[in-house]
Amino acid sequence: MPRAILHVDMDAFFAAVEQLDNPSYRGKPVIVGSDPKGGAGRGVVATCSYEARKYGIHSALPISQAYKRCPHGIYVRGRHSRYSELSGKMTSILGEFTPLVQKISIDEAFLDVTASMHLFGGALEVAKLLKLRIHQELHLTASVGVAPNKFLAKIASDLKKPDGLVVVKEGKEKEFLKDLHISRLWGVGKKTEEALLNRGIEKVGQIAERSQVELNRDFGKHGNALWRLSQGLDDRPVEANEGRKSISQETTFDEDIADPEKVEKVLFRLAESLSRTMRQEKVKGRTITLKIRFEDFTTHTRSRTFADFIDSTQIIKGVAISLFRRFGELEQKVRLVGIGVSQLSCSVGEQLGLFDQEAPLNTKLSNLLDSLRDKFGEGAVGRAAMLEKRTTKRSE
Amino acid sequence: MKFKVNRKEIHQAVQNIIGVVPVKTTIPILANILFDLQGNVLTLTGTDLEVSISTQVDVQGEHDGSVAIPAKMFFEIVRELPNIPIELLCDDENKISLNTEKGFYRLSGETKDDFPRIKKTEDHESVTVDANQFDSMIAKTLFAVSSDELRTTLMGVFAKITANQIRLVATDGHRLVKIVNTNFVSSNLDREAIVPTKALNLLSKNLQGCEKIDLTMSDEHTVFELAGTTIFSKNIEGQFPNYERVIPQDNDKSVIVNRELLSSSVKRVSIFSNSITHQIRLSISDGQLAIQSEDIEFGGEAREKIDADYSGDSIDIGYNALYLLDILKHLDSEEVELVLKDSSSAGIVYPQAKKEGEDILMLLMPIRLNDE
Repeated sequence: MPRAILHVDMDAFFAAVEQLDNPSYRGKPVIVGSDPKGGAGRGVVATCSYEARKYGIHSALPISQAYKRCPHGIYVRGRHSRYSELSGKMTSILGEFTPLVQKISIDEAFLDVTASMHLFGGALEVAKLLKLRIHQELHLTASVGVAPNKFLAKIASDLKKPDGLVVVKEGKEKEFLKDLHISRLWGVGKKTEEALLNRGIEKVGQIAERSQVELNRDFGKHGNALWRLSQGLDDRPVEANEGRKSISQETTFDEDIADPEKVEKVLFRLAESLSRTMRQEKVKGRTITLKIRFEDFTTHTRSRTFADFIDSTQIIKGVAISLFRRFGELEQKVRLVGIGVSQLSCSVGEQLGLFDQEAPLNTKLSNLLDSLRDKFGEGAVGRAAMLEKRTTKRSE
Repeated sequence: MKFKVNRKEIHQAVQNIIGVVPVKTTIPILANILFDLQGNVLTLTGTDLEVSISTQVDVQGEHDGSVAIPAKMFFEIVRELPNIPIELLCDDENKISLNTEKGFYRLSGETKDDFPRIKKTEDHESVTVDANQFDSMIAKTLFAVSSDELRTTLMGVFAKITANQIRLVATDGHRLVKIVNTNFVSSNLDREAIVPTKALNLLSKNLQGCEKIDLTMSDEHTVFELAGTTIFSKNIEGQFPNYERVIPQDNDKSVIVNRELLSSSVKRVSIFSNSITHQIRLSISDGQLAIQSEDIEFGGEAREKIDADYSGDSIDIGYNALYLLDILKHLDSEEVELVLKDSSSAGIVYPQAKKEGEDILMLLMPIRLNDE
């Protein structure tokens, strides 16, 4: 049976949120990322508004480059908690159309609406409806691709950004792909692109015309994948997020940190934000992992596994800090720290506890903070221990 | 210090103690055993600062003295020696030599002054308990103790002695065992403590050939005195959870099954359960109990049925198979009774045949079933 897959991608998400919250930014180049420090800053662009893209600025561009191209742009640091707040709202809107929602990052998701689309009058209607809901409720725009599989849906959502809606009909896959540049294909990086161009292949349609044997000879196993994609074939399922193996957050410091107390403070903040996300998404995990990267880029992870499934701020923080302390005296400065939780379980299949009713004070505090934030927003309330300069944060 | 001893006796004594000596420690002196000779009695002491154990050996003493001897090296040499006499000599610089008919062995000891002093208890009243019975109580509770350092009060067995009974309770928050024994010599003690797992394991290892244990409890320490051996343990600080409150009173569904049959079915079915949760489902209906598992991730599935003495509404309940097996393994009656309420409340497991003067209750919390 043909499937109906949607790829929903928020348009310039972080920058659009900044423009939403700060009306004076609207219509201007807004660049979200690390501090450019007059062109000397480290780090990269996270997202930029469409106005900024006119200057050749794009995600992952070094912030110093961005500053060169557009020194008068509005440079803002990310407000991650605000983004995840809106991202959470987006997820719950998507969840109203199908339980098969696979969130692949903070601002994009796949939906399998094969079974549920008839309730709404078809896949196109679902796409229109959810774009409308996102616009009305979040005052943001999303671009949506509708296709028989994930690969095509993702390409389709990207074609008419912003606020786009592109449908790839069953049977029209090859036609849809044939004039697209080869770099659009998954797995075509610089090297493969060069190799293809050397053989005079520029458009996806030209790959589709080659035989599988020929592609296998030239590109090995990869050739087969290229051929399948050129035919618009992709049978990977949309995996609802219960299938997720781990959840983590990490922070790269503006400047490498030598003071272990500062690192611990950041771990506390990460633990709080991560455990809040876990409680929102109703997942708990048994393994807590600390990730640390030193100034020479060596990266270490340490973890501990428990009998219980955990989502408590206090426990995650305590374990992360004790894992951190096992590194002993810091011989190097710390560049990045992160906390991950794995061996996840959703509330189904959860081992119940004899003393669950006797929630410790800390659990009560976390629950209270959660409900205040639900009501008044992420920035409404915080722990005094966390009062400090903001640093950038990325969620995986 | 100088004495002669038979290899067999010193080997046995060191073997009793070696379990307490920490394998890795930041305090190097703890890797030693303290040898203390007075007349013809040699006292060996090991400690990890939480639990200490002393044992006495009869020797032919020549010069009294004390020294701390590296435990691992000493244990290994006496383990490898045949049963021949050993002469041990320690000079003023704590250099130790062992002489036997096979040859000699030298090693360096540490001064006794560096070895931590074990604080002897204030004179508390003790109670005498039957070693065998107490050993069986320990074996039936220790398995349920938590290893979770986040809840230290669950990392030991709660022991309470009152006028006519001793009770032991252990729980890791998912299962719980309570054993009340009234076969003990009555006394007027009324004390309670959380005794760390390590102390009880050591005690259990040292009980061979023992008939009686003298048990003393203070607020800070619990002391077990056996013939020639004393185990001295710090109590775990903190409040043991209110376990009586979580023992359900209104469970009304009673199922009686053969323990061995249930246990072997659960073992087989659990092979096909999810490798993280080990979840199995018990479906109980008139006259039978079905055990099922399903691993959605890898497509495994299993189902078995056994006879059960039950009549009433059917009930489905999910458990961690490993926890259920633990419980069944630590009961020794032919049949067990499960007393249940619903799929999200604690289930009680009783042995069908009771031993005189011993009440055993085991509790197990379910796993939430996927279809709720």
